[in-house]
Amino acid sequence: MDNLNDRNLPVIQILEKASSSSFYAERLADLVESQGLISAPANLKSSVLARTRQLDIKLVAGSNRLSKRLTLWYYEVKVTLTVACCVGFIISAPGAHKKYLSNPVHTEAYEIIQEFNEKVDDFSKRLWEMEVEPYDKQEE
Amino acid sequence: MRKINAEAVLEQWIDTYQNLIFSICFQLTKDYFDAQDLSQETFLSAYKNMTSFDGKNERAWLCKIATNKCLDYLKASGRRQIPTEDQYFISCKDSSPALEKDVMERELHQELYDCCMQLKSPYKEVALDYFYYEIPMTDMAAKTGKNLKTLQTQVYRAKAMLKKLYRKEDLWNG
Repeated sequence: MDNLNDRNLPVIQILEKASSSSFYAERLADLVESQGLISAPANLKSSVLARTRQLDIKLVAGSNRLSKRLTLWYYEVKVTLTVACCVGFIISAPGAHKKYLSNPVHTEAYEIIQEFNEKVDDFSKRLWEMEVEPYDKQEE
Repeated sequence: MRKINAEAVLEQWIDTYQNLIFSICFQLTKDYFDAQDLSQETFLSAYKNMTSFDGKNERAWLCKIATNKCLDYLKASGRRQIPTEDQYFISCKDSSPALEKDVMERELHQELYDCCMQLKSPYKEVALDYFYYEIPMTDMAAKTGKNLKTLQTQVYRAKAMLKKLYRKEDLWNG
């Protein structure tokens, strides 16, 4: 097995081993300690603790701390609510449509739109005839 | 289920391992402020993922996190050199570890002092007080009579300027 103290081993390989293995991480820590530890900045602790009190960190830490059972329960509630909303929407939709058209204002608006659509269709049909008929006559 | 006071555990970890984590980060980055940022990220990551820790070996676990953070940093900043074996493993066969540590710390603090002195007022004074003399911000506010928020802004700006100076020196030194 490769020895972490082997100076022929490239540093990046040592680091990659130490990043994934507790054994090599321990050896790296021993090596750094043997060379003498540098004092961390005095404000490191206070800045870390201040940061943990911020909402974004608290939310992530809090959600990670939920038990598996609680996480499953939240998931079940979310899925149930979503399904209930979808089913409710599907059931109410035809009724909502009828309710919409039973209102006289909405019915009048619907008829105006229908009339407009018919006029647009008629216009586009005439345009089509203007373009196509001479061409067909030419072909004949 | 046993409730763990995460903040208390984190505080204990910081007290016990901050020098180790900072030393690992500094050895890899050779940058005082980047090492400080990476150390902070290491402890924050440990705090966020405390539930996934099996409780067996916190020293190795924290070192793994720190190493991962440093690897990401080294890979992301491609222009920075990955330290070679000679740079990483200080070869002073005749000197004791305590002596090596003193030399390293003195060099680190001297570099920090030199960079702080390159700044203009008021950032020079703020940087010296906060980063070099490590005076808490509340004491700085009491001493200078400045508003705490003003000081925080000045410290933040001074840090950004110092980081630029450190990177400039990295480029000069290769």
